[in-house]
Amino acid sequence: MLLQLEGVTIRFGGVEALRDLDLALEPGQVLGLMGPNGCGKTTLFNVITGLVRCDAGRVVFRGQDVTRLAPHAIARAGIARTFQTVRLFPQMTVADNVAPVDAPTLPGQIDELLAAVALAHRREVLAAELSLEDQRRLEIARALARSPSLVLMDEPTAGLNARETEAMAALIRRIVMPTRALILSEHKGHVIADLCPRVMLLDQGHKVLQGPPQEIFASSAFRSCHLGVGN
Amino acid sequence: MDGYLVGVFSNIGIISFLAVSAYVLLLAGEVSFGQQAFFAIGAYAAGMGTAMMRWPLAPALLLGASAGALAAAALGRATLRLSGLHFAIATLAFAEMVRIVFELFTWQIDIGGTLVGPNGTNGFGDIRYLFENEITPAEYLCAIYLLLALVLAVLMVLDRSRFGRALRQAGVDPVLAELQGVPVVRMRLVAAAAAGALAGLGGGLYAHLLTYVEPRNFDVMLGVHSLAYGLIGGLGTAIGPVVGVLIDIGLLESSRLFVGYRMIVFGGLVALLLIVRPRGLLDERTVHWLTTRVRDLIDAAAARRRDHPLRRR
Amino acid sequence: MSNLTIDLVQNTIDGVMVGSSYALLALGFTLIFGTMRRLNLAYGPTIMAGAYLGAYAFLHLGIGAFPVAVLVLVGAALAGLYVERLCFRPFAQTAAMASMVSSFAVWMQIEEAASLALPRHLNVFPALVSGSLGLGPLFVRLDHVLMLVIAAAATLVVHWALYRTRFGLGVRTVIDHRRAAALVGVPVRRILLLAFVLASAVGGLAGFLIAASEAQITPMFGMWATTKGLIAMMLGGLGSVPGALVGGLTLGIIEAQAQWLLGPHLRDLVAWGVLFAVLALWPGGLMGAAAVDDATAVQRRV
Repeated sequence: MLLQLEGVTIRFGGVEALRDLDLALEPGQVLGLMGPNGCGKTTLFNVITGLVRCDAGRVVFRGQDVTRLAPHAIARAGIARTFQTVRLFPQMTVADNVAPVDAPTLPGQIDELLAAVALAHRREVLAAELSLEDQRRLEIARALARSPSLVLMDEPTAGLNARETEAMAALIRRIVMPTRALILSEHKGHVIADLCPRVMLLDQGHKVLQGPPQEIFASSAFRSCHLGVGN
Repeated sequence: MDGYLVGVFSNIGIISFLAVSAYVLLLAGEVSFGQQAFFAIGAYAAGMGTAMMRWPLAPALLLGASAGALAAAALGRATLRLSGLHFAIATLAFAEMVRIVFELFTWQIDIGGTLVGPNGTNGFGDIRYLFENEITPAEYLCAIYLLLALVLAVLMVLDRSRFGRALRQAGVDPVLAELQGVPVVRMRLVAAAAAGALAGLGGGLYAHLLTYVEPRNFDVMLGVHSLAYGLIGGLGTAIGPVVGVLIDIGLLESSRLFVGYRMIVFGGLVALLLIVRPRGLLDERTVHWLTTRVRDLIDAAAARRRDHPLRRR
Repeated sequence: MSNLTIDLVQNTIDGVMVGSSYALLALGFTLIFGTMRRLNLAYGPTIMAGAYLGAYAFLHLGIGAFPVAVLVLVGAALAGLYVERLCFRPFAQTAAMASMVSSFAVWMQIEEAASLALPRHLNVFPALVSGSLGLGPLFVRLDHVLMLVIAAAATLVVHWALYRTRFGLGVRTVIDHRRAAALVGVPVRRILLLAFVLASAVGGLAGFLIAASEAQITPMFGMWATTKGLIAMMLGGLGSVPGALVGGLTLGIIEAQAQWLLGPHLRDLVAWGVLFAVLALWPGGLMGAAAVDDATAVQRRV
């Protein structure tokens, strides 16, 4: 069992961002995460990576209880993440953005990572000067830099056109490995259907449904989440 | 070199320590209005070392730097949860408290018939180590710049290292840095202690240059100035804050033109400069551009040497 | 009442009187920080510019207290306009540091200009009224009472402006979310400028009241006003209008009690100490808010 969430609950002020959430993930699995805006997808990622402490429940990663662990320790344990709005160090070069800081960089390591996302030729360019698609690729290269066992991707195709989305989906497919699990939060149904054999539907912090993508899309819960009650 | 110039350059060198101190904290993403507190602590500690405990200069300076580092670490722990403006004002409050404490601090001992030591608002005089050991102003100037060069070299090397990158990342985007495995809180404390040590060292040098310091020297103005140097000179490299000091003290002293309304002219120039270069002169982009150009030049020269038709293989 | 109680109450009264001016200073600071989200280091100096203009006119033209007050307000507002145009308007939201350093540079400019206009350290300033009012064992200076009344009136005016006018609505939307305000058609640039000028005028009024109660003005006034305004604002809780009031009055009372008990040096030590303690223990200030969303909660953990 790679990742396990048990009864995770988070309250902000009077609002319950996540309510009694359970999740189980094995290595090699790709889990899709869907739900309307504000349903708690980003909060879920924040909890797993340790940025937000849950009010109840636990998070167990590779057998270790990481609920109270500091974010940098969780990152070093092997969890990586990308953001909905691309988050890089804009005044640093591509190479400096990718290079891990907690361990010496092996020779050729950076070039390998950049080659995998087709950014090797832009190694010394400042991150702020890249196109959005290249910035998203850079984010992925950075996420993979420390060979994480779990990668959380928060709407990686947001802002990309159809061709770019296809290219991104192909890239994501290449990331999947038997030793690595992926949680992919997305709005675009065809991307989810393409990449995720299993999908979790969230609404207002609550896990509403879980199953294969076609089942989720056909469900009344999905329709009412996205199109409103009564549809 | 004429005495006046020696004095000006000594001043520039010493204030550079303070500027670099604020710079190190800026790299970690913290704005500190209080580095003058550690400057003061270092000045008093080093002064007490040579004038009262009769130590040689080097250990006294080390004492000043250590005192600065310790005080800075303590302040760092107290302000861990603070950031941005809250942190800045907390450092200001701390610095003013330190200054007032020095105005009330009196501890004098009898050395050969005279009372030597801090005397509250009257300051701390008779820090005469340089005179007593016949060290000329020119020699002291060399010592100051040797130390400064050492500090800058260390900082520039660290900047290119993993530690330097991690520090800058923690400063630019602490949340993102945490997610990259950077222990942001720990880095901030380390940066604070290092900055305190630098300011303390500068303070020790200052006390011995002037032979007399008083609490009034270490006011808010000094603190805001030291912050401004890095922001004007640029934060892309440790040389940036020194450039800021050079611009301020150097140009100002040398322009005898605007006597009486120097600050009006200078202030206006700074405001205009910032509009054009909001991140200072030697900001990250400029330094990146410079290093790329230099690298290209070196590569081109090496290539020319390799491909020279007359070169024997 | 025992002597101790009398003294404590007297100090509290004095503290509230002076604190009302601190509250005005903090109010101006808050208006600027709330809208600009940056620190204006030239705030005290712009007030000083107005006060020096008034003192200059008083010295050379012999005009009365009321025209001086008008001059002080106008002078402070104009100086504020200058600072806004030079130090805040040209910078994008990400260049907060540049704005701050620029305002520091202007602080230097204004200090020097003031010394050139009135070279002496102590300069006369018209007083408001003299005499005091006796309330049993307590007494209150008449000019302090006037200060309190004027400060209260000014606060009400600002409150009315913020909550009953379209301009005020614009200011509050910009404080809340600048981009959203721009997107719904709020003339953000104009609002920022007007808020800045209003804040400077409010500060100018505070400056006039304080200088009049001391009957003098010195070049230290700029730094002093910035410091007091900052402390009061942070004590009450950053960016909160009621916080500015609470902070100002609290600062006034703390200072009055500390001065009576410990003397002027320790009074300042206590004021800074209280501020430091408040910041270290309750970063939100006395009226602060706890984390109410993801972003702040995340920031707290890092």
